[in-house]
Amino acid sequence: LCGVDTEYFRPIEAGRNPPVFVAVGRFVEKKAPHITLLAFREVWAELPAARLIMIGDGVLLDACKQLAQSLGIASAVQFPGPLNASAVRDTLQQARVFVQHSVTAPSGDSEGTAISLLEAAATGLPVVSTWHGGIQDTMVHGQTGFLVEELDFRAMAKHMLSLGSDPERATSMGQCARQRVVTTYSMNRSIEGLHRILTHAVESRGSHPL
Amino acid sequence: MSGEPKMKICVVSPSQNAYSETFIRAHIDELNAVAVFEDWPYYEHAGRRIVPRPWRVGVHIGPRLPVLLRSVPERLAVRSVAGFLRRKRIDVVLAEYGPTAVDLIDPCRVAGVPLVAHFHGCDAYHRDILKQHAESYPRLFAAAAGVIVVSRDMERQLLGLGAAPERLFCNPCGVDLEAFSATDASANEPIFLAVGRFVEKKAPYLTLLAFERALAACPGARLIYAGDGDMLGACRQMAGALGLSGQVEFLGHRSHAEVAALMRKARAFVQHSAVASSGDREGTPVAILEAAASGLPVIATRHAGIPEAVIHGETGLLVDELDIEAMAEHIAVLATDAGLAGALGRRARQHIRVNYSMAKSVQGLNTILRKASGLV
Repeated sequence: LCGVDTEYFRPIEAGRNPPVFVAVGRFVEKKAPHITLLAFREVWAELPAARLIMIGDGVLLDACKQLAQSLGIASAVQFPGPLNASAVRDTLQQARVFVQHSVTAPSGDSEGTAISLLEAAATGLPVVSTWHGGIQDTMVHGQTGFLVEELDFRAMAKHMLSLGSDPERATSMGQCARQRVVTTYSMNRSIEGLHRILTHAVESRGSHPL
Repeated sequence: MSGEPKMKICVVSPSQNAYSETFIRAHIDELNAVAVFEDWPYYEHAGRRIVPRPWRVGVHIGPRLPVLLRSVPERLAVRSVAGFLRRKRIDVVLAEYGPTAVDLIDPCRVAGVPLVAHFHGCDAYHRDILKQHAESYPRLFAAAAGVIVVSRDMERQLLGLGAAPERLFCNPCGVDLEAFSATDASANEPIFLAVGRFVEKKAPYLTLLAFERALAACPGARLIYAGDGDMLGACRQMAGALGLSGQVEFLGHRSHAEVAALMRKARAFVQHSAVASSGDREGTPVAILEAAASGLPVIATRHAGIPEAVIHGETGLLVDELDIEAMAEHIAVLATDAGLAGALGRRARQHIRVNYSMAKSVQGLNTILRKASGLV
């Protein structure tokens, strides 16, 4: 397990922020940014104040810009490109919800736990994502946010909408997400674990010819 | 062409992709080219100078040589190509794509052979290519005996880049009407056919969205997509997400014969070409010409050479780029009104027969080459 620095990603109250949805990641098939856009179109139709910020770069970025335009949501979606760590942190701190529609790419390519997702949770953002790879180990459906089936953008939209229109719920789920990251995935825990493994390796060195 | 002195043409083309190779193949065959370089290193080989095989070695070590020596393989390459052109007594060189033509400026000058540059699409629009050739394109426009474009849109573009109007010729690619026999679109099921690479400038995902919207009005319609590319996976995902697995089929790459057969079974052809963020655009998309030649009405965008090849309301239905709503309406109209599809399709074939036949295109090309070579 990779860790996240829970000191660097200071917690915020998600419900105090406007309904801004943030996605961070490369624009590639396995993160299916185009599916996130389909979901956001539904959200925006119900909640015109909703905004989507998609941070990152990749082969599908330009296609996603075209998509946003044709879907009529270009004014509500920002594509700032790749941002540095502090800019990502600042963006997360001004958001309501973190979204990521990870899928198993047709090539079979799938991903582990996305760091950006842990960072968002550490910031106190509820997460709407998919039942996929390491995500379901990290996030608890109904507590830290919501998980949907891969490609089910309508369910994704429904959950985004519920957090977008219910600030208190967003805050409490975000706090829960932070708590989970602090106890399970913080850098300290990760380093402690690594330390244990290394200690063990050193102690048992005698039994392995090097 | 009998009675005229025989013209010795050398065609130089990069190995690009299966789609563009069609018309390049046609140029080579129909023009009776006496010499052909078909695998000319292309601009994708960043930083590498262009030389025929014997000097390839020089290309690879070139960049690591001291500056003084670096130009040696280059000069040898120019001389070897020039020598080849002279030995074969070439009258004119036809270079496919702008960057290829740039590489032939010096060999043609040394050999004293006129050079004609044939632009096709990305080479006239893609921002990176234009940037890379910011200095060499003006040199090309000054040196070339002729510059060929495939649409009025591209003609305006190259005039803007500094091409000389008196040596700029618009000659769209043609379609072999024999290979694409006429179908009666009105007799076919409401199958909408899209053919092309899955790339941004063909925006296949927008075709998909338009089709999804149309389905409400014509639930029996189907979309068949032939082609391959970077965005095929994303489009499959989107079709799955939209619940279209039963209505949309992705066939992957298909041969020309297979494409021709698909066209005979379709109600209409769809393509949502749009300017890519790189500035890249189409030339005159050959698949659209082929579909029209097959007697299919074409639903497409007002993009690059398309509005010349497809006459709105006469041979097809056009929409503005990114307007999937309007495209959806057109799909629904042709899905439900078979008679209209048939009528548009008949006129489409007629339009291609008169304006975009292979014979006409090759004749035009031949005239341009003859003029350039000074044989007229």
